[in-house]
Amino acid sequence: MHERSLAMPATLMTLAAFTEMVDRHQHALSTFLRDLVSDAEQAYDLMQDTFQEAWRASRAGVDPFIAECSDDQRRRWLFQAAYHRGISALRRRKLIRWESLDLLHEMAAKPGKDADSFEEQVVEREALRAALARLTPQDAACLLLRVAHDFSAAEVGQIMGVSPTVVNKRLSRAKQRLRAVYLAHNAEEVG
Amino acid sequence: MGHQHRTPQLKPGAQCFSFAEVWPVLNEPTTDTDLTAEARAHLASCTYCQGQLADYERLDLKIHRYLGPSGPPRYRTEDIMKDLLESASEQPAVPPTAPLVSAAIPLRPGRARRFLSGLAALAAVLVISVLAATIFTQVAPHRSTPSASSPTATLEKGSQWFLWDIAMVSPSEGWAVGEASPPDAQGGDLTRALLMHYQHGTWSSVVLPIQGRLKSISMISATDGWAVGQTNGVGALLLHYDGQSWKQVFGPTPADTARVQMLSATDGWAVGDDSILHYDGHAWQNQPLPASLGAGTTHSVSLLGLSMLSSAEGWVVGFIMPILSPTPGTTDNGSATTLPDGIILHYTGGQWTVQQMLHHVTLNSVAMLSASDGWIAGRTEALTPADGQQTVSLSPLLLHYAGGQWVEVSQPLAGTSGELQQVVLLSPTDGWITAGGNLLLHYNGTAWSKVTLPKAASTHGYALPALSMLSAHEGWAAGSLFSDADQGIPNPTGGYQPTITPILLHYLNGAWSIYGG
Repeated sequence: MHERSLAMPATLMTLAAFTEMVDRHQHALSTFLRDLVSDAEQAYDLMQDTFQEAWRASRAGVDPFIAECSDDQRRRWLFQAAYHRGISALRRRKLIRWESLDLLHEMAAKPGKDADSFEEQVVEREALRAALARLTPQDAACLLLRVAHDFSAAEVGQIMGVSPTVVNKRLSRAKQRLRAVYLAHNAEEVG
Repeated sequence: MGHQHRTPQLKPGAQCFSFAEVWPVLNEPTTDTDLTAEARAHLASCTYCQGQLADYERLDLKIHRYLGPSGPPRYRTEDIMKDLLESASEQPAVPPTAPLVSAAIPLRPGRARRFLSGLAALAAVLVISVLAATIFTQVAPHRSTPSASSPTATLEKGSQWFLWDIAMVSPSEGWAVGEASPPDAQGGDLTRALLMHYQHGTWSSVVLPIQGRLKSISMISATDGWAVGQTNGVGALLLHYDGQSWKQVFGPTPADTARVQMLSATDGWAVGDDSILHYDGHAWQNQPLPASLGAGTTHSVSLLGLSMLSSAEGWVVGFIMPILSPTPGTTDNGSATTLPDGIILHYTGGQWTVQQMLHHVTLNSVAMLSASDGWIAGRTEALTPADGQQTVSLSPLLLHYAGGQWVEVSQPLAGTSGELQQVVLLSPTDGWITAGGNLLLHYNGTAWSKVTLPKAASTHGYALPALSMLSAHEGWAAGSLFSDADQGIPNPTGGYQPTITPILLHYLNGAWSIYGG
């Protein structure tokens, strides 16, 4: 935990530096939010809200949006802010989780294809997202942060505000459930 | 996995099940090293578990490939920045980049002149200037010294300033906390944390350049205290006062923090959504919740009230709601209205346990007089059909702890609509509860009775969620006053949005009066 005395001087980020930061992280942030809230439009709004908050922080000279802080610190802040916004948005939706069961069934019926084809990529991605929607938001977020976005276990704990032990448990549970749902809807070819 | 060729699955052996939870996290640094070693030893001779592990490894690759940020970005950075800068330029009444308004409370919009005149006004301006210079420049060092507003400055119509908690340090000093939103604030992004300070007979306010709301305050002394709340999706808001200024503290905290209680400068507790936090003098740390609550997994837990008897014992109350999911194979999309269940947690022996759960209630606050005597204020909730839909009806609820059990007890508002909010006990024969509107309950050691408070100028009155009693003879209540239509702004869809202003009531020698009234 660090405490920033708001009386200490700090070097504000320039607009160019802030824009560069947005450019570096916006794709990952929108992807994370899209997978968390299962709604592309809402994900964009949440991403925009996150960057707006970061902008206000940068104008107020608040860590980590000052020149003295690292990009890693900003990335963690952005994902932490995005995570909490996503969870709050899901709570306001009364935690209704929609899933495309039809899509999973279609996936199971398709004959084997080259996994690198564009069609297969789209189907795979949507199948994983549909399976992800069966997890609790916190478990889904833990899985996305650790596996899809390569945060360390310690960083995931900081972002989600939980201990490393809780991260470990959530990750195990999320993968077990995801695997069960994913496998249940995938046809197997037995040689 | 997927459409790849696989060998037929062998059946698991008896030992395989004990490692089922390990394979997904076998290579995680946080997995127990002894367990990892044991699992690897088993893996060497078990083709079933080798298949399990291979499945997880393939799943990891797929997640990384298809759910990571692959391919070109969906949005252009220039479009994001354009939207961002346009929104930033539209910041209205309470912008974080402008000097913040520091003013004596405009108790009633347009009528603030009534309580200040002549030399008193000049003195108030000086007090406010000093206060603003002390607090405000610490909070926003890049601003120029703010000019003190006129002490008669009023809120813009449609503004909404709420007070959520109050803590009196002494008869001559205290703090109240809440939130301030400009007219037409939507989504909470324009809401700012609000601090009010009582000193030398005058309340003054400062809106902080921090997005969010302060929900609770606990003062250890005149020079040490904490205020907590929430920011709009970013995380908990933690502010520390060191006698000179309020500083924002960052830590591993959840989204909403509702209540804080400091036992000393090095021992404090805070509670909120899915969380209990403890402060040890250095940092706020998450504390484990009872696993049976399923916090964040099967249930969302909202903790609202806190009463610590000592560093070794305390009580927390709130409510719990199930996390809804669609029911597979049915048309149930999990959207049915559900009611919360009240939870009572007890801290003893270094851990929190569930003491009691109550069906369809929300528990707002708890006050313990001793380890065997305490009170909980809250409400019962019931679904009632109305116009073809289901609505939730609320009724005040009071619980008393005696003989190791929390039981519902009678109180004057039983059967009415509403709730009991904040309970404060000074002694076994003196207690108060806020009940919404201009009403309090008072306990004399035998029974609770209604205390009607002075009426406000508006027909809609006020709400008082906060109470701080200095003694049996003096205390303060804080909340929000709702204006009539002529002091509000019209709603596009009909009706009006009231102007909501802070209101404070002072209790002295048996009588309540509205501050500035």
